[in-house]
Amino acid sequence: MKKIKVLTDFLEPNDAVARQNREIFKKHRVLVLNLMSSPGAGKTLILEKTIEKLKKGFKFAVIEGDVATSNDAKRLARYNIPVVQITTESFGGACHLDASMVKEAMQGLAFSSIQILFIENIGNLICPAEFDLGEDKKVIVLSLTEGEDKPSKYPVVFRNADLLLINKIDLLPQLDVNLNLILKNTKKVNPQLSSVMLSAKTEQGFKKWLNWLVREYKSKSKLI
Amino acid sequence: MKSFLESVRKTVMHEMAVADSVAKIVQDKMKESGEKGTIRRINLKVGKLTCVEPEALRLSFKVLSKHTPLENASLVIDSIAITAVCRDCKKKLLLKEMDFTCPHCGSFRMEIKTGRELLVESFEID
Repeated sequence: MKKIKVLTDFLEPNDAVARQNREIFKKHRVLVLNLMSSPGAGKTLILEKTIEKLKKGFKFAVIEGDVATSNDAKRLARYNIPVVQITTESFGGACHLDASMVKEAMQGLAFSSIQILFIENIGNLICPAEFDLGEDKKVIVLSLTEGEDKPSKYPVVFRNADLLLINKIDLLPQLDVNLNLILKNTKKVNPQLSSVMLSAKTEQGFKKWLNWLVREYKSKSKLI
Repeated sequence: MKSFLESVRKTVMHEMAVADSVAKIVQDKMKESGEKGTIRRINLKVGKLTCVEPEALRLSFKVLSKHTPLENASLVIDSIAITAVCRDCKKKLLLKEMDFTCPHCGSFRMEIKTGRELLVESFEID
């Protein structure tokens, strides 16, 4: 038997496409955020409220990843922004988006009139973690009802994230959940991860998230 | 539209996407090397700080490589432990759980040394 050395990263084919995506985003100065969470954590409502509050100042677009339906895309299209849907049902339901799917979806968007692009990943805390899409920042949404141990159970996604949004904070008085323990478990896997506690429903804490977003956009577009 | 759906098909399960990527890397290298033999083994390094499950990867590869030049190849997966160095007390650590707190000084400032690998190391032909 003859041995041939390779030494290539498996994710290289995906990362190569992600780099192409990143170049296109950079050229157009579009801030791109990859939103990840479990199903039902509140990604879509967070997006709806964000767009509603900032649409006078910013031009948004959304790439919406979903296994089976276009429900979320329909919710977002009400805000008169470009929404491109990626649905994966007919092939058994892809568990994450990858860079080539995003590249394909990007063809449906006019980047000259977009400032902030959200990529709403498929609700899943495992698979999306490894796949670079070309985004600037990864934002993870964790809702209070999911309990304290999610950062310990799904460390890779928390380790790779740039911002943690702890959603449904309005439910804190009704739940037995220990918020400090969530923060402690998060810190164990990613000490640098900053977090914002908010409720997309009551809008408590929402301003802090919007400030973060505006700051990120300004640094991307070199306005500061 | 067809090429888009084809790209979706490749990602039904993420180990499937990873297996596809491994196959592509090996076939490209084979072409580049000009070798003509049958590929028998593919040696991979998979860190424990990744979302790749070795058994799911093996199964995906088996399904995907059927009726291709790689169908006689088996995956040999070397699972790499998570090791780190504490930036504060400088001690070397082997992490059994994904807890990035230093057991010696309580610091969170860890530098991960190994555990993130997702590497096609080599393949063997005869």
